Amino acid sequence: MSLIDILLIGAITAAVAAALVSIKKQRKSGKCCCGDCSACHAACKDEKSSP
Amino acid sequence: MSTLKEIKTGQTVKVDRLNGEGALRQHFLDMGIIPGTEVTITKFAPMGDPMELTLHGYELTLRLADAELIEVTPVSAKQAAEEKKATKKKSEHPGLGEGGKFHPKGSGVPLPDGTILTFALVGNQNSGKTTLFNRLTGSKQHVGNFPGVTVDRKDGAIKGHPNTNITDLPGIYSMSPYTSEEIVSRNFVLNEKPHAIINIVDANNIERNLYLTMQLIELNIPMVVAVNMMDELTANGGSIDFNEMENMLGVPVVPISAAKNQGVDELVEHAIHVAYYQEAPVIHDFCEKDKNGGAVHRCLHAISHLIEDHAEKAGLPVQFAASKIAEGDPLIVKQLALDTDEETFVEHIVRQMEKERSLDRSAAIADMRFAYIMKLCGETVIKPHESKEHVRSRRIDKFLTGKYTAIPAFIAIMGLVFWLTFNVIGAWLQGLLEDGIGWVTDVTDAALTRAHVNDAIHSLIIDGIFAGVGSVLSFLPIIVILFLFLSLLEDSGYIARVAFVMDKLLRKIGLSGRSIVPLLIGFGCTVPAVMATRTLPSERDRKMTILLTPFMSCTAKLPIYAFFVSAFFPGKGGLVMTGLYLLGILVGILAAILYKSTLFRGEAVPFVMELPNYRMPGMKNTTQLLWEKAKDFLQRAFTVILIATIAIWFMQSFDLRLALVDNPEDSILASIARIAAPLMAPAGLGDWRICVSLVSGFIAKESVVSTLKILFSGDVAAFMSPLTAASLLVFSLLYTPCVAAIASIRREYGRKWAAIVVVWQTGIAWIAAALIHFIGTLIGA
Repeated sequence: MSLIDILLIGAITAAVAAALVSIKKQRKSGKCCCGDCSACHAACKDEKSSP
Repeated sequence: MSTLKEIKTGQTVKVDRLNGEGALRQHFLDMGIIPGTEVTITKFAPMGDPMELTLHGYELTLRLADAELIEVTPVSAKQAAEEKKATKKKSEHPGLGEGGKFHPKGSGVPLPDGTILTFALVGNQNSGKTTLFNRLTGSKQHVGNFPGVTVDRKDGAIKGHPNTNITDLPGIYSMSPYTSEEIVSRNFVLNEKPHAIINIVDANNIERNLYLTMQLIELNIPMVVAVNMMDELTANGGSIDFNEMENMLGVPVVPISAAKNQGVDELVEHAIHVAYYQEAPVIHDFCEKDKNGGAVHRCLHAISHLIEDHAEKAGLPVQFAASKIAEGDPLIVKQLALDTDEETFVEHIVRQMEKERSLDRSAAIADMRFAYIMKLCGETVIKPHESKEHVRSRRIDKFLTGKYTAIPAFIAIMGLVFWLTFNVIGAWLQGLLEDGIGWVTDVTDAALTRAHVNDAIHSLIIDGIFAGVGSVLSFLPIIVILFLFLSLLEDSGYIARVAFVMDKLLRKIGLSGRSIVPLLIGFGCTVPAVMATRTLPSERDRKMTILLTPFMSCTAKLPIYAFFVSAFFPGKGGLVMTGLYLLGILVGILAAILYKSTLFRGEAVPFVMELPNYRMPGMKNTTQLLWEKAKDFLQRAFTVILIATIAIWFMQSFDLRLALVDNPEDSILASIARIAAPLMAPAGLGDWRICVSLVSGFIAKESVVSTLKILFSGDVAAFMSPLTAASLLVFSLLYTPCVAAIASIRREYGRKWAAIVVVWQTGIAWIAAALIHFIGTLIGA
């Protein structure tokens, strides 16, 4: 395995980790339910406000 | 005596009596339909029902069945034209909320330093709350021209005042909860006790808006009234004596134009002042002693004394609790926990008031409020002549809601939107993007080959990530363009008309015209569509609409359709797409008919809503929406889709012993999918690769395409017949919504129903796909 292979694997791993962190952040903040907030006329769900 | 139902277009009548009972009757009263009110019939929907009427200077829609509950007598044209003009007199500025009125400037008893000042932004639907919220906080919430755009609260600090928190609440007409979003607002104000209320009032609909203002004042919470859209009022020759209005309401009143950012700084100063010094309204009693023999006045004051201790214990303002008890609000009655003697005493007081006033309890209280509002407006408001926006709206409505033109216009508009999106603008932009992605893939492929990158890593990058993420990315233009059109239609005010026009038709399948909005949003994304059902006033309508939204084909399925159209049905894109959308609607209608006669027996709730004026969609609002849509789509492509494509690539490149495979049929994926394949065989979808792509579609619908591209090495047409493609298209159209949509259904409806939706939708999809396959095989397709 060459240096370029190792660098590419590193870059892909970093991209996957960043994607996972981003998904987790969105879920945790409660700001976004589906990653599709702009579509949402109702904006985003706030658990506290459920009637 | 006749009922409102029998009145013809253009006739003006006076309300004599309002029959019916419960929350709906209270809602009618809150909207101003009280005995003595003059009502003019503006028009009927194309199918003769519902009707639109004008009262207190605004338009309201009502079904004929509900109009039958309102007894009326005709009013002569001369009588109707008589209008009390405000007398122009010079009033002193009361200076409320400015320092100097309740205490010398600079003194007073402020809240402790460091207190976070909390504000509730409360107002009628479509009064400009979200526009003001965006101005105050600098945030970018979506603003619409449809009553009920905000269905959830949103928080933010006022710009330049970090120690503040303002909450934008869904629009409400009164403090009597009628819909679930109204309950959100009412509960927030009553339970979370903000330091102050900013009540936004539409200057062009001031009578109806002030009804809520008066109820908010009864709460005895520091408050500022922001009279919005003053620019429109003055441009049409109207004016308001703000000093006198402030005097008569006992709270600061500030003229603003949230859209033009006029008066907002002054509003912030007043709001912070009243919150910081806890300056409660000066007046919170609008029952006049001499009005109608003082019956309501005596009733409310007697009840106030009687329930004072209970109200304090329950944490409710006495004046508010008294008027609610007088109205007969069951939630407040329960909260006060009166003992039997007290309850009997209250009932006797109310009965005496009803006798003296010759009106029932709720009508008498609504009349007391509206009487004060009419007096206030008579003394302070010079009504504008008909606004040019309204004249324009009337002209446009002659065509868009006309008897013979409304439905053809709706079909033509929606057809034009889909044609422009899928055949013209969107398709052209998609072609450009595809070329760009293809070029980047070729360049990367060549560079990796030159650098002698390991074959597995090379395959992961080109066949996995580039093929998967790239194929999804190319659909960005189509999705953005479709949302552009939907947003333009909503911002212009047309969607509200669609609800009006479609009400009678939707009622046949057990829904109300208001359900059209969540259903149309469902063509964008099921998640917001499910949430938008909160604007529906009844639990029955909400649940039924939630169950029907998955039948509306969402934009995430577009990549699947477009992919198969280009591979199997070139040149017939418009036809196939329209056919799929119509099939979704048709199956939805059949499901609705089934639900109506099984799960949801009974009638849809009354259709009471207002039609806003047509407006030019704001450039800023639209661009911002499109940018956020594009941003979210890109974010999704590089997060969920990226991970899904890598996982799929991994599972199809390795076997169970984690050794690289030459033939994907030996892969982990193939081993798992073979278990499900026989089940899908009757629908013609028995290929393990198709099963895998459909399972990945549960995570995100776009994944179906990326997975197929990876598994079929880009050339699907070589491995699949057009019949299988048709079957797969129908299955994709109808099968379970994605995990995000299921999660939102679970939140609104519960775990059990979310699971039922998954099984039910997949079952329907299987039956429909099997039918297609069976018929296709029979005719030898």
